[in-house]
Amino acid sequence: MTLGALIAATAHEVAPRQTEPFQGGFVENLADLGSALAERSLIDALRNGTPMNFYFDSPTREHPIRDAAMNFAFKDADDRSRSALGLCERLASTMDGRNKSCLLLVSVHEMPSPAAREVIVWMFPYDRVIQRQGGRVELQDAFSLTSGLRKAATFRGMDVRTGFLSGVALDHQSSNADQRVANFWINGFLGGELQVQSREGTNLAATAFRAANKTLARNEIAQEQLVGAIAHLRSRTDRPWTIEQIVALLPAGEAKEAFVKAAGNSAATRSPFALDLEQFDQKIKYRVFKLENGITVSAPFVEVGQGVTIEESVDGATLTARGKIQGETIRSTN
Amino acid sequence: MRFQLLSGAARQLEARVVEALDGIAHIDRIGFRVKGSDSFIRKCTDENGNPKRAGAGAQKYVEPLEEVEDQIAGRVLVFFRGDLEIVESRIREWFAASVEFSRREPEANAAFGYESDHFVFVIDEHMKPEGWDAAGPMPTTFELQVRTLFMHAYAEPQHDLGYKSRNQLPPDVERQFAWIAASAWGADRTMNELYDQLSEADPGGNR
Repeated sequence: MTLGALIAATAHEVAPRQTEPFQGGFVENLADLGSALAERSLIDALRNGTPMNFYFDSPTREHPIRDAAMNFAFKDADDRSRSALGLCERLASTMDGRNKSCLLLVSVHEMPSPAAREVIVWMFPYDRVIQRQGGRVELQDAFSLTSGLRKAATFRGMDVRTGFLSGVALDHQSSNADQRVANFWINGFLGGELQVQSREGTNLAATAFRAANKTLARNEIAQEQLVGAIAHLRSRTDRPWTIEQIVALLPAGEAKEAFVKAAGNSAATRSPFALDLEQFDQKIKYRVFKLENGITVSAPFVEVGQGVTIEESVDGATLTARGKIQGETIRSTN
Repeated sequence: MRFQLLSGAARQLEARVVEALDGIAHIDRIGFRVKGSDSFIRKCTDENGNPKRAGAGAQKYVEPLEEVEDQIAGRVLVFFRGDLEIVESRIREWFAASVEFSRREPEANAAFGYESDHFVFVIDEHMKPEGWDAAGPMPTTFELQVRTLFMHAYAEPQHDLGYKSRNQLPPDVERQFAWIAASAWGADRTMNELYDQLSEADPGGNR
């Protein structure tokens, strides 16, 4: 979806914990800015962002970002200015020592329906996209905007109770292992959370692995690749995952194709989530047995009772695995 | 086409709720429906067929095809009152940030009537079938009700017999409805108390 004609935009410099007045105001040259923002790579990045919902104060539906975006979309210049400054204040108070000064750009665009608007909040690194020339603030070219864009969020809808209830957030740090950094934009500034949460993301991943494994019932190599990806995933629960990133763990071939088919192609595949290991293991029936002779038996998709039995006795539990050998592999250790 | 898209989203949402509540006990049923056209028109228009007005005379819905929030609606029925919190907690883990949550119950302490927990959630992007964005005004939210069987036993027939009536009900009929509501409320409480008592007496029982 392309970007509609630019109606108005503001640009302000924002520093962490800033309490002084914010420098900036309305962008006068809308034609140039409109062209820069309509840059294909910039729009692609934005449209491939992650859907998010606001934390609402029920039942009023009041929310500082939603309210500001709707005022910016539908009200007059004074209201737009107040909304933009409100966003600057919120951003400054959300930023801390880990963040650098930035340019907060707010733009409102036409939509195919005349009653609807799209508001985009853009956060650029200040020094990459701004030039000061004789006291004037100049935006640099589209390339700088594209390469400098780190965070953005877009909200669309009409001026009604059901409008602007959700958005799409772009956060190049959302996969950052330091979740304080990742949470700054979506949880902190935007005051919301991603539409796919830990439980659903984990379920989606586990279900896709199970379905792929079932599809590949007669393909041991592909099944081993799935097991390898599962092992890697299980060892890295310290970072968020997306389905797309899990796909990247699989080498090109039938395992990857089966997983992609099972996971689908919805927006959910781009959404980062924290893997819930307990839920994941339960869903894919991941079992690890350590035997007293030093052998470790571990595998996903293990159904106790279907070839694997566990007998309890006073001396402990005994595992027996029984099945017809279909192949044998001798692994080299070097 | 529009109805197909709504039905597709309803199916997706139902499957998501089923997954979310997997393993939770005492779920009687989970169901979603798409609002029928007659019901939609009744919701948006007054008895003369004109657009409904809200408060000071402004039109209640500017764009009803987007604004009517129960065009897709789901319901989860549970056995006991104590299950409501368990179910709602799990649903909140799967559905990001509800737009609204309300516990509907009579305002007066001495009154008996409709009871149910109501959520309004955003229809998340990955729940929308292909073609949704190009289909013109579409709802942005859906409703989800969570209630016990006894709450439902009162609410559903009452909704059919009373709520849909555009005329004021006779006092005696209202009184009869209140009596049914009080009976359902009492049965619901007693059933929950029995469950708690029996669970305490026999913690390992098959409950």
